[in-house]
Amino acid sequence: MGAEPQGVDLTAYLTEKMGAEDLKVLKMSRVEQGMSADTFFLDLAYTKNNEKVREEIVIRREPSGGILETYDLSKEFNLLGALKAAEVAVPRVLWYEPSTEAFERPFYAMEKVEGEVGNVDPRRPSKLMFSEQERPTLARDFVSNIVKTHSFDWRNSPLVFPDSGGDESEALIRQIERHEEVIARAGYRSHPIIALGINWLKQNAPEIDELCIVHGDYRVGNFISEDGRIRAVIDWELAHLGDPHEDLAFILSPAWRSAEEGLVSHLMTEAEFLQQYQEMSGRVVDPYKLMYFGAIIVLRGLDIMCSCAKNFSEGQSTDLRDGIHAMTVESLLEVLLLVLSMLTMSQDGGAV
Amino acid sequence: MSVSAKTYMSSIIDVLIKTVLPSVESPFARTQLSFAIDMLNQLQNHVEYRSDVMKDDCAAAKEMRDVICAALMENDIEIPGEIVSNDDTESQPEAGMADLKGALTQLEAASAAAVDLMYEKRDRIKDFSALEKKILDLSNQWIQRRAALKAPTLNLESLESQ
Repeated sequence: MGAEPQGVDLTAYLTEKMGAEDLKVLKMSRVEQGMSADTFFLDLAYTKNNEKVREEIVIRREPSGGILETYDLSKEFNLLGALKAAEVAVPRVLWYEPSTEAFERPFYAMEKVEGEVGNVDPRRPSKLMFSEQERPTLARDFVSNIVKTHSFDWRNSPLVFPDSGGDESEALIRQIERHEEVIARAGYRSHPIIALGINWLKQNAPEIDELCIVHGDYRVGNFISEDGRIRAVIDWELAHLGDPHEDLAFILSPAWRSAEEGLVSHLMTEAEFLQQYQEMSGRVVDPYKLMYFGAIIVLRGLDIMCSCAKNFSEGQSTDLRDGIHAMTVESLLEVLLLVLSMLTMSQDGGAV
Repeated sequence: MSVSAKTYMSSIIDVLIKTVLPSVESPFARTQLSFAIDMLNQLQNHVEYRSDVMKDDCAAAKEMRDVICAALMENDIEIPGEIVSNDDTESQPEAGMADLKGALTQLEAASAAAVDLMYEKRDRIKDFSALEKKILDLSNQWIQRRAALKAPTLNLESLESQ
């Protein structure tokens, strides 16, 4: 948790927005963990309908220069509202504020969900986070929420996505091209291994049967849990339309497993996850797609890390986390080549 | 492609001065930290990436490009001038760091352009699959040599808890 933002007084704005009287912001603190949208916790006290209310809310504000390329938090706001209606465990969103007058940049407000968020760092796998008693119910919620997300009927919703029109397989190529553009702007497209990876992924893209909402960052650390249940899945800023295998490949990544047991998001074995996912969703997991989307995730990681490296190199960021991200580019190239080599072997009839 | 060593060091110095130093209360620790900052400051103009590694990168990028160009030529595919231009700077014993950096940037771009051309003309290349595997192998060998230079990762969890 970080310090209270200086020189910001949201009292008048919140009083009017919430139809409250005598509103006081008792505490406002910034969550320092985020690398993209700014997140603030607000502890409020006010009177409404002659009743005294004490309420905690969360504000997610567009960043001034985040690691993700373009920001439009209204999309995340609308997505959360739609998913809540579809019974995905997400925080209840309250309102979206498009103007820059109240809080310097557009933001949205949502309820604060009580519970614990596991703190994980992909560079250092940690000890098992959940107790033996908690794991079975958390695991079931973990699978159930991603299945509900993938099953969400976005075509019959007001949500708008850049890839909602056209052929499903073309959407994958466009996704690769978007990553390619970002990498090029950061000055890394002219590296031969990145050129190889991008060309390879375009040439060997599998047929995509369906587009669904992909969370993009579904893992321990991005859900709030309490008493062995997942209360809310958070951090939807990477959500997009894509193949469900993209989420599955991300979920199964070694980065989010417990150090000793190798449990997926510290909850269950890989086999248990895949079995439960297939049973609950009715989908059949394709091993080739699983591995292919493992490479797409590395490309997505390169997109983000190359942007960090550019910001750091040009002095737009002095955050040493961006320095470490810049150093990660080479490791990601190593992983990308490893996955491409395995994919090539599998195309030649080797085991996946 | 890499962020320069000087950029890393100046950013570390900046964070130590603006963020870390004001929070350090122990007089002894403050003195030690101040000396560390000054040492980093003195060193930053003397630190560069190793020239032998940069020469190896140049050689690796050049080999990838040359293998692709040979295959393209065998298949009567015209190669644009910017891919084949080569000043051999990296192999000159007197080449300075700035020369090496320039040569590496140029060779990486030429090699990447060769990879793009290889895929663009894939239908005209006999046994494209073998060529692709060869390039994948060369890339793997290159990145493995780079990986061998990596320092072991520090146990940050244990550092932070001290």
